Amino acid sequence: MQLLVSSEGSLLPGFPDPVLDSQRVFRAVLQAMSRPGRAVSNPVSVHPPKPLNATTAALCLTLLDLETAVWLQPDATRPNVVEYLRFHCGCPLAPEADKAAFALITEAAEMPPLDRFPYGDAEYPERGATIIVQVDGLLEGSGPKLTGPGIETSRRVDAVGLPSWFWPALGESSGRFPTGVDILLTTEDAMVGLPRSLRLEV
Amino acid sequence: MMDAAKTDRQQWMAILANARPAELEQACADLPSRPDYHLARRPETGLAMVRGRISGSGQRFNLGEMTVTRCALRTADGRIGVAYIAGRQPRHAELAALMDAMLQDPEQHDVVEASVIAPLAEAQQARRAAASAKAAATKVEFFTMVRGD
Repeated sequence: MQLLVSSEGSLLPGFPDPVLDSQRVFRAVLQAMSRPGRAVSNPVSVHPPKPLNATTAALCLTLLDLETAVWLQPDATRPNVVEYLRFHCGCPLAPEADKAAFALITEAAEMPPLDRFPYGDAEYPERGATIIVQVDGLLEGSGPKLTGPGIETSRRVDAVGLPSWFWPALGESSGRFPTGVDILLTTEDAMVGLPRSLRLEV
Repeated sequence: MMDAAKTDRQQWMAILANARPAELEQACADLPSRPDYHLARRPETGLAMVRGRISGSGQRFNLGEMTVTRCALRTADGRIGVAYIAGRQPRHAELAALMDAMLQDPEQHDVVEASVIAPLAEAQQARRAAASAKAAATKVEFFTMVRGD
């Protein structure tokens, strides 16, 4: 497919094969969430609107639609990103973090505290937000010790670029299961799932 | 529901959408050149819910679903062409979107208007007129006698 060089304002195409590609990415997300802390590679290559990376863009194309309000971090609130999401996903943009079903964080160091996002409640735990956090690298084997559903004994994972309060905050919020937020850490090629069922020892 | 006069773009998009696929193909083939483009959204077929208003101006209601094919593309000079076509018509949608993009370009507008839009509009007009004439031929006049009481 002939692809033109994209400038800040141009409209990039979505999935080359919308039906099968979204299924492939969905399968990857399932793997990431059901085996927390294990890096899953992004199966579909897309051209993302900067500053989104390819995995984040693939997740958006797969998971977002007109029923999922998305909160964009100020760094991500650029015309090309907004246009991309509106055109391909049709998702509404949440003005406040506490009204969002999904959040896109492109500057992890500046991300708001986790409790700014909806956690859901006992009757509707699914209303807890899914937060996609872009990081500069994923390190399996270092970081806090993770246990819980989907992990046979324990695993360790860490990411480059997370704020220092991130892991302790996650450890604290996991006590609120079944409410909570679900997090997907993304790099250009891979993702790691941190579902709310995870238990941490920092 | 039309509250204001249709814009030019709405008019040409309607003509492109209502064209017979073969006619559109023919008209486009006669164009001297077509710009390069890439598909922002490949022609995809889906369902749209058609809504009407009670008695034409009242409360909205769901009339039923119809099959729609849509396409969006971006030409080399940055214009975005969009098309929505009734039924399963990926080729028609792509061509109509390309024509939409070309018509937004002031340099190409007149050529496309003359070779594509005008003939299509004429053909559609003629078909409408023929159908109206046929229907008119079946019209029955009712004469009411006023009774003198």
